[in-house]
Amino acid sequence: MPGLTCAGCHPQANADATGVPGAPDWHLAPLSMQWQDASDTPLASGEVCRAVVDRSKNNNLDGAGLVKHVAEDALVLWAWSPGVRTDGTARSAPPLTHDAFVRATRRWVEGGTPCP
Amino acid sequence: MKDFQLEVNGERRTVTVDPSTPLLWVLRDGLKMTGTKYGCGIGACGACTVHLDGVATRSCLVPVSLVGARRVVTIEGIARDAVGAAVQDAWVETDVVQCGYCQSGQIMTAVALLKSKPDPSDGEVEQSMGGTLCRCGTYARIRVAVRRASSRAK
Repeated sequence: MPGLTCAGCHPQANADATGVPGAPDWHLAPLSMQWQDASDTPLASGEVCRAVVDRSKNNNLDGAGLVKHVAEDALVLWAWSPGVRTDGTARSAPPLTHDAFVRATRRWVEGGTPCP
Repeated sequence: MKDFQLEVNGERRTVTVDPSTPLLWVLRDGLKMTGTKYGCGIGACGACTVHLDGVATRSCLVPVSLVGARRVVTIEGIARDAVGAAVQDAWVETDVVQCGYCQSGQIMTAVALLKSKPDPSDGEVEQSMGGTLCRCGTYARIRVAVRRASSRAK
């Protein structure tokens, strides 16, 4: 929203003193990239997979673009450095390293982005 | 404690504070610029809104160490901007203020809105201004003043 943007609260890096998460260009994913339905129930993995490879929904990324996105995008990288909550406890990171995530994505793209 | 160079309302200022100090307290306690108000301290009310490189920002949430080279503009400096002056004039003309505590945050938010969207729709005004709370309930007059400033700034 003009005048009330995400950056109004979320700085370019985590503000651990206040518990506010931040990264460059902080923003929500658009609705076309949602992984939940309107009642917040997670979509089935096949639906998520098809949405991720649908260029009308994924910011027009091809396979190479998807690999670059997960390897370099600042908001993706933030997930592995998520800072602390307002109570000072650490936010949890994904259950695999970023390198492993990129390798798995590359392998999936090289295999033709199959979906379940 | 560490030295930080800030550009505030066009002037270079040096403060010596803990890096985790929120910008709000650097402005109010360090630089004695008390126009920016403390409301909730968790970014929920908007009373502490300032501009960082033109982006309306909740200064209670931003540690001074993350300000960097971005230009800080506060309510004390906003009248030097043409849109800022138009908003302040519209605020006075509309007699928006009741107690006044939230109004610097309201004005800073309204200026950011009109600089990015000079002729906002009613929905955009409501969405953009709706995150800055006024316990006196001056919202109707705020809406009128934003409209008036929008016409004047064109």
